[in-house]
Amino acid sequence: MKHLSVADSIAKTWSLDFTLQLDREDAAFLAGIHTWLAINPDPTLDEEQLRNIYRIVGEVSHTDPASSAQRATSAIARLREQRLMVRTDTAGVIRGGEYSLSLMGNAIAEWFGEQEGLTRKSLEIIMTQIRAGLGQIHLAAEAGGDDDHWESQVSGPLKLTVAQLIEGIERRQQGMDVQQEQIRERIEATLEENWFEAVMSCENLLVTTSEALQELHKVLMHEIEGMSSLLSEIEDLCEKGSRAESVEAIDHVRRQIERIGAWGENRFATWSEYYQNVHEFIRSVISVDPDRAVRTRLRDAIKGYGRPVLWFLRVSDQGPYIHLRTDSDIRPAQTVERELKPAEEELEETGIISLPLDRIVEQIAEKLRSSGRVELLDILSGLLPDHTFHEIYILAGELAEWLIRQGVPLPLHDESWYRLGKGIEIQKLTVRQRKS
Amino acid sequence: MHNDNDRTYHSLDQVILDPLFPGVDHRLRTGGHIDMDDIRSYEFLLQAEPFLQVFYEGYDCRLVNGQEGYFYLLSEGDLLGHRRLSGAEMLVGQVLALLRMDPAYLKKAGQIPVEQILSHLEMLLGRQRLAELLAPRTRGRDAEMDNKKIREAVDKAINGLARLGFITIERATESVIPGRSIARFTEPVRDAREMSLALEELIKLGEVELDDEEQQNEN
Repeated sequence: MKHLSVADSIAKTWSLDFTLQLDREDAAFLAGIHTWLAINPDPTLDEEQLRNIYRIVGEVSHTDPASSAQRATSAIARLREQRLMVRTDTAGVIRGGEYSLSLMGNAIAEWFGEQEGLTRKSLEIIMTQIRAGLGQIHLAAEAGGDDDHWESQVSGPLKLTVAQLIEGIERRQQGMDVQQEQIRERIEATLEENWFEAVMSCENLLVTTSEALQELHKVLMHEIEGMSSLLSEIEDLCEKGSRAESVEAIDHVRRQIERIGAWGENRFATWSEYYQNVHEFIRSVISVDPDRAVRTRLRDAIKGYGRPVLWFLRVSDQGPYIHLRTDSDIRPAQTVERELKPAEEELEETGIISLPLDRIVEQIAEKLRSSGRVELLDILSGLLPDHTFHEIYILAGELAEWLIRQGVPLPLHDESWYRLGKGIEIQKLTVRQRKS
Repeated sequence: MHNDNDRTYHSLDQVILDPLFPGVDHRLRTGGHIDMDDIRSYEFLLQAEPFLQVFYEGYDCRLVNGQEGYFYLLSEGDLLGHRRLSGAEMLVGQVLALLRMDPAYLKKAGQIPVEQILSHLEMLLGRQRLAELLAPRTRGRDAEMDNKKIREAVDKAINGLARLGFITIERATESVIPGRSIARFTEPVRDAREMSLALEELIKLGEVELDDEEQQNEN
């Protein structure tokens, strides 16, 4: 049961050159065929029966009855071309064919139909079947045997029976997602329509759904725990018997179980959040404005904002704290004498100058850690004797950028420019250590 | 010191010594609104309120507990300083207060897309009025430039409101979630009185400032 990679799956599907286009009439036609197959004993239908179903589509969509036959022919052809419907007989072109829906056609039609949700009862029934299946597989793995035994008693039932039963849960979970979405839409529509009068009914709906979800969540978590330990025991037995195929099948089932567990957790959390949001809405919006008058007045107020007066909310606004410093804290500018180099006769291309920032940052980082703050002017003054002005000039920029990344710059209260040797003037930049 | 489960205070000293105090105090002084979504800070303020009222009185300030469950500080003198919200912040805030009353956003966990704010502003005020308020010009109108300016003003207002704790920005979905304090924007229309009377009272309480439009355009 090896899975394709995402890239392989995309490439494979791309190479099929398959497109799916289903308009409203075709979708209704597909649903009609699906229902016909569900309520009739015949597993297939012939062309005449298809045309009868399409006639109903025509009536619903109010299309011209005169063109119905031609439209039915086109619709049948479209469903076949898109592999939603398959011809099940081997007859040629003279006799009319027998048709049925493909797996894809069935899946789409089922999706259109009523979504089957997950209830505590359906979950418990499926879980009992899975546990029984796993119990038998466990016994078979314990007994051991030849290749046929492992294939028919362990990996086969894991792939077919257990995996499909879990798929049944997943399908119902998707159905439940749709149902929850519908409940949310119903709550919102009811609140919008009936506002305060809708509060009780919405609260009841919320409580009922929450209780159902809580019950499901409890059963799911309990069952998953039991199944996971049973699977681990089967896996140990398969590994002892060196049955790689069975181990793979167990991995697949385990992933499925993890998925349904994650679904349970996620939906429970999402619903809890929604539950709280609706209650908060009822408490802070509907109860405060039971006749929707505030909402109406606010809408009018926005429309007329500024006519005749503009009004503004006021908020407190304390300015930044001012750090008072004594004069002695201001370091006098340092002058370092250095012999002037003779001017170059011609400009040389020197390339990008690599400066020793890496060599000094460790030292500065250590100082920042130990003293809690560092000052750019101090650092550069310290470096001045060992570097040219050109190097210091470039280093000043790089160092300022590095310091801002490492710590938190303090507000600039002293805007004076300080001379750094003969050619450079800079402002102070004090950076304090970030709080961990 | 107090743990989270038993945070009761018997004196202002105890309040100030609580590790939560500096952060909460700073937020309040810089115009922040603290609601139940920040449960630790909100609980702290609930417990410490009687002591903090006295404390902030010394700064000519009033600690306000809004009826929807949020705190903010109103500065009534010059010691601490105060400012008013910008015109764009006022418009965006009012529209968000209105949209928060719409149950349609419940499904999206209260998230309101920025596009919805823009479209409601335009729907309620009209294109021309919106441009007059958010993209003022002395000469002529350029629709493209106006759109850009309006969008910039709205984005700036959203950031401003977020800094003040009125809303939370969800960058990934380009949407915002209004907090409880957004209800401050409904204050002048809370009851059926004439809005001008409500505004008069709010001015007396130091909640609101007025400006006529001419003055605003000059600014």
